[in-house]
Amino acid sequence: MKKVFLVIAILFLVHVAYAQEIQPVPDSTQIKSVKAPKVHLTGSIQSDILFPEEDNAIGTGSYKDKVLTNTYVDLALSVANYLTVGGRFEYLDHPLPGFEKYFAGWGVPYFYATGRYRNAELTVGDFYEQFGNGLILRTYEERSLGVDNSIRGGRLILHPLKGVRLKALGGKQRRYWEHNDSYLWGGDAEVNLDQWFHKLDEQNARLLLGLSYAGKHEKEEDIYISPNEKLNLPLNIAAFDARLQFQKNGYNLMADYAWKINDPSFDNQYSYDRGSALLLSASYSKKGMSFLLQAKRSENMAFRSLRSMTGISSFINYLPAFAMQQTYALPALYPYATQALGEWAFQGEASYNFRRHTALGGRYGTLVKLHASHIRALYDTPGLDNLYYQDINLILEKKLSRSWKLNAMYMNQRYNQRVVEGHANNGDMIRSNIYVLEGKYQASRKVTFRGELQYLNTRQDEGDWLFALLEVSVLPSLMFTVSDMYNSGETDLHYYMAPATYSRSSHRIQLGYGRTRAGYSCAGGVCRYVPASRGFQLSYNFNF
Amino acid sequence: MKKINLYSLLTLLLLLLFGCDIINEDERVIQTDKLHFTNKVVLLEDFTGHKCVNCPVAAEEIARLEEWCEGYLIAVSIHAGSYANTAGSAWKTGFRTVAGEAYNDFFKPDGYPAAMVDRFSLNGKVTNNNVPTWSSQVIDRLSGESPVEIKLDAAWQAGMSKITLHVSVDFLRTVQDELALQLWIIEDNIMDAQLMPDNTINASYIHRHVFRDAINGIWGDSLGADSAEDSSIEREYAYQPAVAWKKNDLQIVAFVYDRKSYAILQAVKAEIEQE
Repeated sequence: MKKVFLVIAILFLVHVAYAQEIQPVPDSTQIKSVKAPKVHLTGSIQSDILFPEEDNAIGTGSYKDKVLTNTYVDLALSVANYLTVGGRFEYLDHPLPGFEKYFAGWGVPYFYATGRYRNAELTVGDFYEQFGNGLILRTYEERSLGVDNSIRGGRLILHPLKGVRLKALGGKQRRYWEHNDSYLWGGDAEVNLDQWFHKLDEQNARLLLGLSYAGKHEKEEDIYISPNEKLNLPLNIAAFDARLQFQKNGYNLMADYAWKINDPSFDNQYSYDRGSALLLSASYSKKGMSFLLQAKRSENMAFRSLRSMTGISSFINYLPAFAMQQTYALPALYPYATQALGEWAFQGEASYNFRRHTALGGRYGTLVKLHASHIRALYDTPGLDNLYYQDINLILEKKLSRSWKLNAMYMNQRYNQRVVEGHANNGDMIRSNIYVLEGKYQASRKVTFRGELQYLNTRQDEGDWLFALLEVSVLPSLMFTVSDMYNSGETDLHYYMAPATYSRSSHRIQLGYGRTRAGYSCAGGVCRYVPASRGFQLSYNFNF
Repeated sequence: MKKINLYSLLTLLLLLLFGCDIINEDERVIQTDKLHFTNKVVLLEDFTGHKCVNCPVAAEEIARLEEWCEGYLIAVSIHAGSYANTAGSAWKTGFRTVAGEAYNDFFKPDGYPAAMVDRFSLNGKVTNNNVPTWSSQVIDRLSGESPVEIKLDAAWQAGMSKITLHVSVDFLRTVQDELALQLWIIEDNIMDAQLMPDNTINASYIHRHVFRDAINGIWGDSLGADSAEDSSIEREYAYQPAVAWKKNDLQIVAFVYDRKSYAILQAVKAEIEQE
């Protein structure tokens, strides 16, 4: 059932010299009176359009529609710092391929009004929120995944004392074009202890303590275990979080522990076990170097607003992935998805910048980065590979001359396809070595060339891949790219792509043609399967 | 400020007090009434495939439900989509059909396995990937009485090369919706490979109630609208099954559904009698 709302009427068309961003209520401070235009309008338009073509070689399937699009229009009207009203129009009635079935629709599913006065901020309508690292509550929008689990209700933020922030919220969670038949509520308190203990402040140290609570109420449901026995399901589920963060002189230490009471659900096959998650992080950075070490243990912490929901919708919380988000094409071929039932995860990174005019730094300096991730099952199961994911990346960034810059990367990756994707091709564990070389040449003040060569070597799944890209940027507005991803292993298929981009002030338009391989698109450990496609692609972005 | 702090603390305590249902181990199961059967027979359509690792678990659940329901549940397994393709030497028999792919394209299960229980929606979805909840959907549908009775007779003719079918749809109450009659032929107990949850291939897996064909077209025959109480509609069909199918394991499934909502009002299954 889809409701059509009238798009928020505009309002006042005011000539403004610039669009000013509305700043959120800053922590630990009173609202200061800021001179700003009295009323102003901000917003954005994002539209991605595909003119699909059938391509049996890559398995696109057939299309009923000639044009597929995901289009979003955001508008926000602000009255000084006191009031903001806004909304978003979405046109997803013929969406791009690969989104869940109930994703299709159109209307204004997101609108809100936020009022601010002194130390308080009240939002009524739809909003996104995160408590700490999101282990018990994180609602967000990620358009590439089709995730929008905003809450419709109310949220109050208070700064009652210096260094103290309190939040309280309640409402129902969005699932595509409806709201789930359950109620969420929560509270969060954060205290910056350095504002209370002057010794900390004097030593330039920061100490933050956070406590959070998230709960849900869901109606009864029948889960039968025999013809005359059903499960006694809890209707009110609570989750708690406690966290500590310490910063001083480039050191940053963080500990976050979350737990959840019994929450039988589809994700845990209706188990009554408690859930828990522990996140530890230590980092150090100063000019020219940085180090990071992180560990995570999560067990049974999938937390949804509907216990029997499947797919990627309706999560209340978020469990971060401990794998590096890759931007190069072949390293991103096998992205890791966080396992809801539980995992051990470790991540480390070290980077060092060899200064210029040194033996290793050369004339312009050299940056070297080493990153490693290791994710495995909580409990070893005999006969199965208990490693879920591992990667070791060595990255080199070097400016060779005024015109030339070089990036090189080597990655050794292990990806448990059976665990992550639910199936495997030529072996459960995909073991690959990946080599990337990227060069940038500034031919003139206006023209820059960029090229990439990548090679993925593996005996599993579809075998080896090669990737090449050439890009020309012509300042201030134009960019042309041509690329090809070729499977030299099993399929012998080319996935070519040729987009052209034009940008001017706040407008950006891109037109391209090519093939996209079937695979997983992931952001932060949450993944969506994207089917293969071919055709013209048009994208338009405008921010004002 | 003190008042605000006190109220905040109280609210927090209240939330904590009322926001937790901890269920002790000895309280986790509730006894319910014994299953009560009316005239309603439920149809469970299971979207599945050779290469669907979680489908054997779903098949076990269906077998369990069939045992509970003592003949009041009819299950049909529709092999469709990418997990049902038979590329690779392990798979001897392809179970994909034109009609099965059409149902898959129309109802669009979000993954496999997925069931439709009388094509009735749960949480706004007609297909349901959540195997443990199939039982409650089936039991819920069994509790209602159907306004329709179906009598189905199927017999072999001409040396077991052709099947003749006689269907009578009797209306126990007036039904105003436009209805359709659908006839399917299914084959039971087919031994062929199946990918198992541990990613091994079981070459001797027994596939149950496999959908083979839609006898009277992909979407069946219209029965019209406004069917009066005590009225009856009769239809005759003839069908020639494929030679490769095991004749003794073939069965006919007939069901009546609402053409607008696709919800199934009544279903029946019949063995094919010898001439």
